[in-house]
Amino acid sequence: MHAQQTLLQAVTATQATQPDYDALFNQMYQSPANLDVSFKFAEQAVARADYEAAIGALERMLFFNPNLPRVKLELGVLYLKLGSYELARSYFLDALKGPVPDEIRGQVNAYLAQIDRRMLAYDYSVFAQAGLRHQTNANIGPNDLLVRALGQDAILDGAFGKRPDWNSFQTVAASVGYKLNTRGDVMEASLLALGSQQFKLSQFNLGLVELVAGPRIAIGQNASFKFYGIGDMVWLGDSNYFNAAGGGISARGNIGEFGFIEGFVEGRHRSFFNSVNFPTAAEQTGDFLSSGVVTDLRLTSNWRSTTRVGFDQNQAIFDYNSYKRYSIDVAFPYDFVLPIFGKPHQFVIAPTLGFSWANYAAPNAIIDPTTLRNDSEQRYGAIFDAQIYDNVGLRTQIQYSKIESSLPNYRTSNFAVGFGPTVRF
Amino acid sequence: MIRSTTLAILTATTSILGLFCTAAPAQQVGTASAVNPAATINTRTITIGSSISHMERIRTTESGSVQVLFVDKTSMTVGPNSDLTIDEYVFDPKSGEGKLVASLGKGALRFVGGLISHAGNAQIKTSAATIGIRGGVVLLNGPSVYMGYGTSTVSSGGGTVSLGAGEFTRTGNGQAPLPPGPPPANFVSSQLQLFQSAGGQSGGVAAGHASPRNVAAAERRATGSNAGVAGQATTTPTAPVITRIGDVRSTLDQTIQTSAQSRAVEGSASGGRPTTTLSGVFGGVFRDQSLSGPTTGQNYNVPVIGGVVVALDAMLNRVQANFGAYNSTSASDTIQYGSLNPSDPTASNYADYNTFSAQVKKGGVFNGNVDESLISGEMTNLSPGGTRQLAASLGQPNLTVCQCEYTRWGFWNLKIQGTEAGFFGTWAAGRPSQVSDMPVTGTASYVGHVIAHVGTDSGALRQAVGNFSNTVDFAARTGSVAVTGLDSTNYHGNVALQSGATTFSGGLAGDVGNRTMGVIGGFGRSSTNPVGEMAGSVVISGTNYVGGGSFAAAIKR
Repeated sequence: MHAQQTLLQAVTATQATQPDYDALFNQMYQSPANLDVSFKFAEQAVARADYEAAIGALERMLFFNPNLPRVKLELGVLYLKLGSYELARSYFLDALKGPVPDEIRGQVNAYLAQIDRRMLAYDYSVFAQAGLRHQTNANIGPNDLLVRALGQDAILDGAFGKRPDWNSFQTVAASVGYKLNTRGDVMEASLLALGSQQFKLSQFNLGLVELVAGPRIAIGQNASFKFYGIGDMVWLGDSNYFNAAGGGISARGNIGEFGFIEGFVEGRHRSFFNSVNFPTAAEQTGDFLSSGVVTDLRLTSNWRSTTRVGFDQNQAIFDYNSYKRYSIDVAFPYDFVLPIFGKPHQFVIAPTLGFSWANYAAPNAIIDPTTLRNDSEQRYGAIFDAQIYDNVGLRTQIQYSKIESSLPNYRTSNFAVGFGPTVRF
Repeated sequence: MIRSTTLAILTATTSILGLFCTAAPAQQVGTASAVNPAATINTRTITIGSSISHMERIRTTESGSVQVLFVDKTSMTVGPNSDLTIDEYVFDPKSGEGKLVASLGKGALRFVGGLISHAGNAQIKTSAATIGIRGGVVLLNGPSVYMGYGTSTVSSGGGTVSLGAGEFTRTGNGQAPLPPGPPPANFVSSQLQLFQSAGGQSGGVAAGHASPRNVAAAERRATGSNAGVAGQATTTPTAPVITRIGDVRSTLDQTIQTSAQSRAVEGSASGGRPTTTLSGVFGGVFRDQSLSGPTTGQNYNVPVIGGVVVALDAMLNRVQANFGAYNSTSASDTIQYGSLNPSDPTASNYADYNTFSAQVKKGGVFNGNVDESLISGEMTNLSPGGTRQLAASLGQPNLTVCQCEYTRWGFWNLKIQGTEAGFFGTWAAGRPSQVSDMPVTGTASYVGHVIAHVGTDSGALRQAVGNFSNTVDFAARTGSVAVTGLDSTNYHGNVALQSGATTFSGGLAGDVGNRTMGVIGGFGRSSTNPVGEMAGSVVISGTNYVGGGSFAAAIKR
């Protein structure tokens, strides 16, 4: 986190056209001692992610003068971008020899810490948050009490209509990777745990633990695929709601230094259990197929985008709980640094929006034997992260969601506000 | 002189990028972009800007080093006391393809790849090994090979290993390369020192030319800022937490909403006053009376059975029940009680799910083909509590009354005024299961009750109750049924589940006289089980003994 702050710099170079780039190389080739030309070429090489060409130009500087800590710092950065940690570390350490400006020393130390972490046999990351959340429709009840029951219009008991509530919630997303070799083959495991305890509607107390584990096989240095197993345990209303087990395969490729794109297909069998509060939950038991494409791209020095386009298919033992669902979710995190009491603090604000459409396979006679359930959901929200100290921050999240459905029972809207401290490491 | 030769070659081409370098001797393939004396090409002393040609041999002294920049953007740095020969260099700038083969006779070499090696067409030979390079950065020093970036294959002594980024191997002594592993401590840093100028050296430019101030100024001019050319090393993006958590929550919410709404509707349908339609069967006895001939005045009791549909409308507070609607082929066989039509004067009452009734509808009996002035009748619901009271009054206080959630039962009758003739029956109806709901494995035990009208062939009818149980083997599609204590008679037998349906039927033998019981029923839903309940009718016969009734049962809890 600290390194991110102090090293936050943009690659602002405007990318030259290929003929211009070739002409620059031509100039440098003819006049290798011309420092201006060499740096212009290096700048353009970095802009087009041709880091090796930039390295060649900068290493030449060390031929001309070996006492250039700034150049060594930049060579370290370029090797770090290539994932060549040992070479990067050597340049960074070299940069610290002799008198070095404090600014460069700080940057170098931050990069060295980053390399040390990456060169551990284990790599890990943890994001955790706890806090309070208020929802205007905590029980996902319908907007209107006039619903369909057994094919007839019915007035729903008010207890099942939309009801507001507060909850305390906890979120942990942790991943660990054991490096099998230096080629990028990693045994990965990730844990996602969610919990919430309602203040009033305890039947909606939620607990989820999802464990995903499997080997990631590198294909070169910028792509990989992964086989993994999945296990889920979910509690609702303090009773076991469903368990799931399955597996998947994913393929990921880096898009230069801008981010990555990942496609996945995974399947799991979900076994739902009836409980006092949800006596028909078991009807949702079945096979759940999930597939999608996820991207995480840096658009500018401050803007990123994360997207997820998904297709899910649920084959439940009861047809009326089987569905196909199409979804798209997008977030645009914008990060910036502001000084607070003289010290820079990092902030991220991320507008989010999502849409999904679910088409069910058969009408549910309990609701309406003649009407198929078709839902469309829209989600709008924002996440605001504020760094408080080091890796501790505060996250505030708001989200408005609205579901339109062919059946009034499922037409809902909800506005949620949550906030609480976060920790990342 | 050497400088002018180089310039002459460059002048002869419109651009060095237009060069197509082949095996023709003396054609320039690279330039000495930095030189620390002493270094030579063949026997020529190299200075910065010196032309490097195909098949030329570069040698450095103990203090010498050279960086060679090739036209495909490959750069090679030859360390001190080294010996490198460019064996082959072919490059087509239009296609970006080519081939590079060099031999490192001794010493140290840093290879930073260009277009040729990106296609995997670069090869370095040492005295002990051949290294094929794809992409990348390679450090070579004698028998040691370190792959900084990219991949390579290292062959020696009849063996080959593949190196990935960050892997090291050692060759020599005619042995196969060592397995890939991390480099020895300080190997990389010590190699980098070899490729930098030593104190007092300046790579071939004037001392002070590359002073920190000049370098910083040049970089600032190049970038327009103090940001530097390398930018920031961003961390490898990890899976976006925001999207992942959001997606999991969204999918979870969908399942929770499904469960919650099912629960809400089930709750509303199983208690209170649901607007719903129940389907089932009725059983009973038709008591006829002879009106002519020698048997005038004699009564005949005939068991009857049929289908029933009961509709309850909470909004209108009305009940409509149609008897015979399923099994009859003609509307003239049906009897209607009550009406959902708000303008229909037929009385009905829907107090709650355990209390409802309806009077026979005028014009609703046998399609109006009767003298309705003589007809009266009603259908009523009998609550579980009422059923217990009935059982107690019949001396059977321990009746196992069905603990049904949806299935309901009761009485119905149709009387012809002034006579003993008419229909006297019971009904049981619930929410039928679907064929797809039927389990194909496992067993389940259902318990409940039977209410019937029994009597002799012609005598007065009386009400009777009995316990009902049915142990169903869904795999074998059979059920073992027992009806006990019904008019002091116990019946046992098997029923068969009908194929492609949710119904079952079979015959039971009684333990009194030759009494037998026919059973026909169907599975119905409970709030927790799509086949959680069952309802049906019984037809009883024996010597001078008839009866008809209905049963309701739920899975034993």
